[in-house]
Amino acid sequence: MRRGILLGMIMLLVLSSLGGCYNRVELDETVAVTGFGLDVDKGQKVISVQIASPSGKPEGGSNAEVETMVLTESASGYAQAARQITLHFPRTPVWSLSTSIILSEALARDDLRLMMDFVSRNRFIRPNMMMFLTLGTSPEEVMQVKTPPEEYSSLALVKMMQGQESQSGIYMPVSLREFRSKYVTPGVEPVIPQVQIVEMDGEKVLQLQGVAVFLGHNMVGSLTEKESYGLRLLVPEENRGGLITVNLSGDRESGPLGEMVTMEIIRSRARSTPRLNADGSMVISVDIEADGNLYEQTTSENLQTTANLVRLEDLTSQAIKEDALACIHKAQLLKSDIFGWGSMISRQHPDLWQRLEADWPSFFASLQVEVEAKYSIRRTYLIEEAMQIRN
Amino acid sequence: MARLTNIQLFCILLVTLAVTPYQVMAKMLAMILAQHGWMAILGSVLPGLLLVWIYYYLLTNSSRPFPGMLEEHLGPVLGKIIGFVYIWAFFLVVVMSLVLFANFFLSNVLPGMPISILLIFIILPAFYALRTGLEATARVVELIVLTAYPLAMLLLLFGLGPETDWSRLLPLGHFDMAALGNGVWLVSSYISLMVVVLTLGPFCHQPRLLWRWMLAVFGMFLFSTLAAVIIPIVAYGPVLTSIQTFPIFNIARATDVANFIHNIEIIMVSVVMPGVFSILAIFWFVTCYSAQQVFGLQDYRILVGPTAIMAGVSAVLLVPNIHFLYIMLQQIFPWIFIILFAILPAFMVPVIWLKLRRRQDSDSKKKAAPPK
Repeated sequence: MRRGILLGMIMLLVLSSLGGCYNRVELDETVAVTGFGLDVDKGQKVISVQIASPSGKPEGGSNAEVETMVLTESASGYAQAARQITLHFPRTPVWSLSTSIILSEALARDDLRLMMDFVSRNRFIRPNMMMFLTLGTSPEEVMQVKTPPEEYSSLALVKMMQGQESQSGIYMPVSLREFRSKYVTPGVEPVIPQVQIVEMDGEKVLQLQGVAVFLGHNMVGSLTEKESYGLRLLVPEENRGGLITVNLSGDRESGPLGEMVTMEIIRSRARSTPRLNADGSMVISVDIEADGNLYEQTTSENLQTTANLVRLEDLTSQAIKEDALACIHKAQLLKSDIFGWGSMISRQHPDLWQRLEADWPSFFASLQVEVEAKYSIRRTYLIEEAMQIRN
Repeated sequence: MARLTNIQLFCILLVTLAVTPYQVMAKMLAMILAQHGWMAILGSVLPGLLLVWIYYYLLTNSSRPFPGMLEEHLGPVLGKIIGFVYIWAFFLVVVMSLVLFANFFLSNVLPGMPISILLIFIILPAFYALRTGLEATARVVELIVLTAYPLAMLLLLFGLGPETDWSRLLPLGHFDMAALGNGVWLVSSYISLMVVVLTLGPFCHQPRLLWRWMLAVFGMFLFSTLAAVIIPIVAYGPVLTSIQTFPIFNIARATDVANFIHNIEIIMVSVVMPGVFSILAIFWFVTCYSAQQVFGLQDYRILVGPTAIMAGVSAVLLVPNIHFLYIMLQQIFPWIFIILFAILPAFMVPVIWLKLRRRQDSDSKKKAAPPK
């Protein structure tokens, strides 16, 4: 009898769960968020949400365009603004499907604290989302740009970032997890790749342009393309992919076009070591090792000779060093330790770090840095000599 | 009398030791010791081994399971009074497990779910297991450990993604000794949850071999807790680990294996859930069994119903918010555990030793005395 009652109670409880999870949401009552943007406007926090079309791609084959839907709301806080969207939008946005977070420059220059709290506390915002910063435009405008063949600009940005990393190798993708980790760790400052809207043949397109540099809770400046390339060369993790152009004349910026040679970087890695001098000053010595292939040459000169290969290796090493130094000088100018040297010192010389920590940005700006780069050519792909026209 | 195999006891001890630290130890140690949190675990090896020896000594020199052994060694009055205190201490662990899991679940998975419904869903299976008996519970725990423990470790391993930086554990040896002592004390307090062996050990087939299983459990605990403490630090760094409510859950959230395995936090919850069931069922059994021993009841099962209601109500009332939960976990529970589960059993060791010594002396005197 008692067993029967107990069994009955269990059955009753199991029956109550047949409806599904406690706070389930039906698919036709939701809509996927592909990305969202955060901005500030006259003290108000603005959130823009790019919504995937609930009905999918319209008829008309691969040429059919999906209408991009961007919802924008503002309030005193981002969570509040996000919830206000539900006041005029009939479906529940599924935030966990979002792939990118786009910040406005105004927000980055103002204060990141509220934004960081919002994206760290909210369980629907996934740490693997990629971060971008808009340059000279707002996240809302970026999300409204058409990016064929991709239907949604937030997804397109992620693919652009991943694609350029293995091909051009200029910018490094930054995930929310990485940004958050650097944001709270002493001795290292975070960066975010920037995106801008440019006109091409009368059409607005998105373009990755530079890297935003932070110091504490604010953005303090940007790296150019060349400096961003240098930043990628300076990270301790192994990098794969990327191109670098050298000029046989030795002048990369304004040397003759006919002497341009493009070198591919298959992999590169930087090792930074702090060195204490007898007078108490500190030198950061950076060793960059890279290897790659000869990728393109405009000169008809045969570069695949022992002497020329050594010359090319030297020129490429010099170019790598130049880009790395350009990045270091810019970071020092901005007093932002984006390389994590402070963090490295805190691990290797904790006593010294205790003295330096309080005034680290100023100390970093005056640090003496020595960069050595060594590039080795491995292969030349399908031809060994330049194509010669014979009459 | 119910009988447990040695492997069942091993599984029971492993869940009682490993489940709570798996959920919260990373955060607590990161708050105390930053990147040196793992050193506290290594530092707790000696206290842990000492506890294993104390429990084994008590087991091999007692004829009754805990808390009956209190009456055996300290006399019926004092034994019953202390035994009564232990009922509440074991009950506190039951409530702690409930509260911890409720907060874990409501913070990360379903914040809108009423806590009462969640508690019913956790308590009900444990209630049924206890009503069925210790042997059935032990069999379920055995299955849970064999399936969930490797999966729990695998989920941690998945957390070692491309952003893992082992240098986040540096600098070594640059820490405050008081903080290390605090960390060792904290870890040792959770090791003392092995005290259930005093109640369950006598149910074992081969109590004389228990030391091997206890050592094996301790080794497994060290391994899993080290992994649970180190992986969040190398993945996030000590600062972020210390500010997250449940760093282990965030490891699962951030897991992305080759852009193929991700969004696995629900698997993490499904691993933690049976673990919580196990620790709940075991300590609940020990609570009821202790009450049976202290009050001289015929069967512990009649206490399962009332204690279920008490546990549910206490879980709602005990901790008003997650901030207070961590205060309890870090500052209040460890004191209770250390005093009742480590110091008091340790105090019993010399008592038993002296009693044995006296008995041996009187035995030898009897032998030496000429027959009348």
